[in-house]
Amino acid sequence: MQKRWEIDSAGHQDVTKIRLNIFAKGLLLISLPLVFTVMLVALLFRAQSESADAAWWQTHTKDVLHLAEEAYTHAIESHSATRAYILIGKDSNFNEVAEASMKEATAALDKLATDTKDNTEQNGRIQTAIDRLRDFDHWLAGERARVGQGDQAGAIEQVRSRKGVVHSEAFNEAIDSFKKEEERLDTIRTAAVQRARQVQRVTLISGALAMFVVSGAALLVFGKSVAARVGVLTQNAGRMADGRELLPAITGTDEIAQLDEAMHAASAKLATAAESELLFKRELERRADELVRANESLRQQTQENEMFVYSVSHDLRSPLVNLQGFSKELEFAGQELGETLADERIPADVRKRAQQVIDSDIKDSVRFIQTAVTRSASIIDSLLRLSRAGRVVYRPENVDVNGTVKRVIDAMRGTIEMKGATVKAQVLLPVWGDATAVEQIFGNLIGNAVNYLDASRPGFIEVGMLNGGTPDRARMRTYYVRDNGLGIPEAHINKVFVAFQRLHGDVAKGEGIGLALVRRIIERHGGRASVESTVGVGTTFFVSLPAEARSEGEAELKGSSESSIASSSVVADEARGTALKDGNGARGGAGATKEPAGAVI
Amino acid sequence: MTTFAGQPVNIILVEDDDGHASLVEKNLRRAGVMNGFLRLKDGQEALTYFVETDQFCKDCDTTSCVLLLDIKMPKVDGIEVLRRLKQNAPTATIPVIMLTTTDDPREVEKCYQLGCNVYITKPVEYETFVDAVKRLGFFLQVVKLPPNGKK
Repeated sequence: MQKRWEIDSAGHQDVTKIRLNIFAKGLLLISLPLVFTVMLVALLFRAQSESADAAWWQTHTKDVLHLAEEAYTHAIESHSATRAYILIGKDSNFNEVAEASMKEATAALDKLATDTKDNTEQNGRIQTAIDRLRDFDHWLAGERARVGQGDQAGAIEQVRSRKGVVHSEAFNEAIDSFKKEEERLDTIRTAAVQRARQVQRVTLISGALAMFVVSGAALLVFGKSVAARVGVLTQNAGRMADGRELLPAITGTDEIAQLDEAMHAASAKLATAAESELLFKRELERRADELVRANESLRQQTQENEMFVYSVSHDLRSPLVNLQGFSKELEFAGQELGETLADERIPADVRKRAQQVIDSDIKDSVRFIQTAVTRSASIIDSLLRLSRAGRVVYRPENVDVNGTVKRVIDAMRGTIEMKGATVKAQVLLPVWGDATAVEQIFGNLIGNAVNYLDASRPGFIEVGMLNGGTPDRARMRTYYVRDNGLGIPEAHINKVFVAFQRLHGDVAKGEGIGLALVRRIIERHGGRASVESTVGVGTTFFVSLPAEARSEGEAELKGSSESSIASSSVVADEARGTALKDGNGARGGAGATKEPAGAVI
Repeated sequence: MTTFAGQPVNIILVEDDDGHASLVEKNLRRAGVMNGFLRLKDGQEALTYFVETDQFCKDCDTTSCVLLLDIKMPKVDGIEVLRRLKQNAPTATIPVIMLTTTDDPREVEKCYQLGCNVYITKPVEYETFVDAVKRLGFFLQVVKLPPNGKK
């Protein structure tokens, strides 16, 4: 127990340097009661052997007493037989009986002498008894001899003299004194046996009790030293799992303490990790915020740019109106001048000269001005369309791409047939987007493909979907428009989506706005546009658009702050082309509610 | 202010750009529109003419005139003029044609909400414009053409 106490107090006092692991503690727990058991068994064994000794001595005493009694009895028998011989005479066989009895008595005494060698006192008493018996026997044998010689009367005289009784009593006295001593010893030895048994019992009971107590104490100490700490350990494990603070460190140097220490270290690391994770998270949030802000400012800038382009385009229109109008006035003036020249009062040479000026100089100049104005108007129109693509409010819906592409192809049927081209469209799955915008995308792409076919081979255009229309991880569906047309040189391929970049200016007319428009529309749908091309082989345009409605996608699609009613007129306008192009000056048809205008136009 | 001498004013143009004003008038005349014509140089002048003085009532009556109104003008813009005219009872019934380079859908919508009759984007090709004015004029029975119309 002393040792155990030291183990427990080691942590507190830090004096005892006994380092015990759990195994040693368990061993102690088992071995302490075992030691006690061994001790108890030894004690019991000793008590047992003592008790056996005492019992042996008791039996020995009883045997000795028995032998003494036997010797006495045989001596008396010999005495009696001798007297009978004397009285009856020599014809009887009592002489032999007396001799035999005496022999037995002597043998018993001899055995007693051997048995009591260890006790000098008793041995001495036995020797005395032997001596006296010898004297007795001697007298008895003498008297029997007298009878044998015929002197029966002398022998009877001798018997009467009581000499035999004296001998007998002397012997009896010796035996009695021996017996008394032996009986005393017997009493003592019986008591010893009882005492030994008592000791045995007490040892057994107290040993069992002690073992019980020791085992209990060992368990108690083990419980305090191991079980309680394991409990703390378990709690700590639970706390660590929950991310709470751990209980104070467990004292001690064994595996439990080590485990607890490791757990504290792990917890500290975990706390550090959590802290740095929090920092990372905050940093990430900050970056995300920055990104959102940057995105927002970019969006605003784009919007501002588009607003700027829009208002500049409109401001440019104002002088164009004058240019166009007054060039027309000049034309009219020229006509009027020509009519005026018809006056006969004007000399023929003057008229001729003036007519030349009107016909070539003025007409040519006016024509050039008008061409330039038309071209400027067309550029401004393109700019307006481009800026409108970014500003117009989308109405996202499920768009039937299949039908849209069919409509686009049908609208181009004439051109396609004229070029002798084949246009093939797969069955196309729908997208989530603005129907008009989606039509613009395919209109531009297919239109481009048709326009820039290679005249040296039969044109072939294919519209399809990548991966069978399976949306990618960003839930985007990718379509392609593939042609076997002229192709785009590598040096130019990076500019195809940039506005006013025209590669084949001579092949088809336009301002080079179509692909820029396509890109802007796709961007606003959250998608991507890309192109692959080989000169002389053909070009493939890829377009990815949302396969289904998305919360953030919708937010982007809804875009600017314009009201949806306002947008409808623009959408309608986009759909049928600008007023300038169609020559449709009045815009009243845009809204069904504008009855007066609708009625007039 | 320029008016056709001796004629009641039937067509009023509010336009800050002299060139545009001249072209509008020339083209209307060439197209044979013979109505009296008045040009006001900006929104403020228009407000003075219609609302702040009784000049308008002296020149013509509301049932027989058309207003061509530009939007982008200094001082007071066309939309403000339109709003004030529609709020002002004597002028509220004048038919108004918005005539402007701006085809901003928000502007278009605003003008219709304020009560303009037609919104015309100023074209580079003038014929369409004249056509529109003529059609509206005929509809309103304002436009007067000479008996054997001269183009």
